[in-house]
Amino acid sequence: MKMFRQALIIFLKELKCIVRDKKTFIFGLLLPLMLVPSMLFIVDFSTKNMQGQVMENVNVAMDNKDNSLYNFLNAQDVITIIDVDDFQKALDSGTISAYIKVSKDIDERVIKKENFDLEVKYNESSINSVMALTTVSQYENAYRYLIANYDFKTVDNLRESIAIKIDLSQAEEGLPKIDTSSLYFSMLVPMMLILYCCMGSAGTAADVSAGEKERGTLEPLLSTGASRSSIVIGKLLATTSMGVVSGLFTVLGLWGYLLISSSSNMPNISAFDMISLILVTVFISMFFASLNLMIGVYSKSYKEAQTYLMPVSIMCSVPTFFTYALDVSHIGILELCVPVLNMICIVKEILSGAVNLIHLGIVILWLLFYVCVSLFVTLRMFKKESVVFRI
Amino acid sequence: MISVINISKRFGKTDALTDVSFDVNNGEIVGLLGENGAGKSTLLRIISTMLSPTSGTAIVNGYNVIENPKDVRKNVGILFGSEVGLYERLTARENIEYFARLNGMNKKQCDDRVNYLIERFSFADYADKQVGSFSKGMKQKIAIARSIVHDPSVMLFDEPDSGLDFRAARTVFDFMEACKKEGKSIIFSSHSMESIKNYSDRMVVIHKGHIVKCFDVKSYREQYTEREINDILFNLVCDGDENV
Ligand SMILES: Nc1ncnc2c1ncn2[C@@H]1O[C@H](COP(=O)(O)OP(=O)(O)OP(=O)(O)O)[C@@H](O)[C@H]1O
Ligand SMILES: [Mg+2]
Repeated sequence: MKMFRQALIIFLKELKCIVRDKKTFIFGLLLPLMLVPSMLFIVDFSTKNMQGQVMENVNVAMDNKDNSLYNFLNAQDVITIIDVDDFQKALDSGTISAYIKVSKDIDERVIKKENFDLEVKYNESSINSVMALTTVSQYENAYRYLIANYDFKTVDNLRESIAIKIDLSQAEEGLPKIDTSSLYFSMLVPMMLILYCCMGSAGTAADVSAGEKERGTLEPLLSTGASRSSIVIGKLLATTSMGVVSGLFTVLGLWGYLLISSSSNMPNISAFDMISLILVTVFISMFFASLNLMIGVYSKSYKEAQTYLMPVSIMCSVPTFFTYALDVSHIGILELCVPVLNMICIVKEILSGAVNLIHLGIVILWLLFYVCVSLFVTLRMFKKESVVFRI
Repeated sequence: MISVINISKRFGKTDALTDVSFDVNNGEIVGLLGENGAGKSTLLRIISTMLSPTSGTAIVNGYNVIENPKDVRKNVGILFGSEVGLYERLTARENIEYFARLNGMNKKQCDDRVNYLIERFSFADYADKQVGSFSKGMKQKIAIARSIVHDPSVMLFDEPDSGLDFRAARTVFDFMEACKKEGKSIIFSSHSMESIKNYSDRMVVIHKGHIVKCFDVKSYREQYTEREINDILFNLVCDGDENV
């Protein structure tokens, strides 16, 4: 009872100190709030923008315009055929996105149903050009489809009848679509969330433990009536609050983004998913707070704590990159028991809208277990003079 | 009343203290003189229960530092010179209140005590300002007030005058004398012969963890000149070293 009262006194004092450090505090909250939305906006905008440019207008040049392929491409709204003197220069400067080389006798060969040479040159270092290549290839396929399925008697007949407009989006239906923005979504959001759950408490953890050693306030504190356990618990509560708040702000940023974003590419997140996400965020933040505090207590200075804390943040959020291909519909017990991986799995599962309550329960139990272990280790360390008075 | 009984302390392979014993009576100031690394801070940390001795023990007001560390802490106030150890983002009042609360005072007791201390050390003007912007002397006053918030009967000063200008140092020594008048037992460590000679009743000279001399300052003063005392102290600390 007395221990908890003392822990509460310490907790409230730490909170006061955190909030009074206004710049750090506000920055610490604004960053997670802004970062996820701004990254998603950028990703969404740039993918849309690139697709838009290519779909609306692709400038190409051809080495040879007296043929049915020219007539066919010329009939498409998306494709503009322009004359260039030096195609390489034009590709490099972006005047054209692709250059098409085709056999001179293509039409004769088409009528005889013989093979012909067709080569599309593009600029590998330009995103626009690479995207244009896709569009051009799609029209090339459409052209090949037409000449393979219809019989053309004469060259004139071929050149005349092939000049028809094709709606690629209809032709494409049925093919699997690569949705880049949802790919980014399922990779970026878990990473940002886990990163912020971790980083949100790192500063506070270092400040209340190693920082206190460094500023010489630890010894007076140890000489008061407060027990070492109550000191650790009070500090853990403060660290956890900071972590949870910053984790929740990350979720808030995500939620705000989903509300105002008009993008249809973004997954639909139900209220239930949102609640699960908040729940899991709270526990992930608790886990990182206890881990960070453990590191802070071990360190003898703020700087030393920072050197250990930085790699931890990175190590815990980088695996999200390697799990982007993770199939959320096949998450097994094993994945749910590996630290860090289980957090990524559950966050992805929630974001995909297929949250499994048993999985959620397992992960939360594990997280609580990790919290208990790190609290235990922290308490042990804080009672050891070789840690508290390490020189 | 403090009794230090055969205290030894090892850190790994270093013997920080070896078989240290002495007593401090109520209303007495014992000066602990020693060079850097002599073991002064280690001894004070053991008496205030932050470290535990490898062997031996200390009794503070009847409480054993090993068996009843909590009761010992209720009776001990500590003050550091070089680092005042205040929380910069708290106000002067909050700094003192924090320690009062941690020492188990309720709101009423805490308010009364804090107001008394603010009055006694006359910093009502800046009691509600954050400590971060204060001068070293102002901080020192607040640290002094905080060290006796729980009205301890034993005071430990670890190099209380280091890094202070003469005025701030004077405040500290005046406070020490006041504690003595109140009947507190006081240990004060320093590597300055002058301040120890001027303010302590008894002097304990500690060298590489051993007590090399323990004497009554007043009677020495009657026997020897200042110069002679300085020479005696100097030889005590340097005798064992070949390179002097
Ligand atoms: N936590 C620790 N771990 C290891 N060795 C230590 C520790 N604390 C002190 N020591 C060693 O014990 C010896 C005594 O140190 P102590 O700090 O007590 O000296 P001091 O007399 O207070 O010196 P100073 O005047 O520099 O404050 C030194 O050799 C020091 O290196
Ligand atoms: Mg010292």
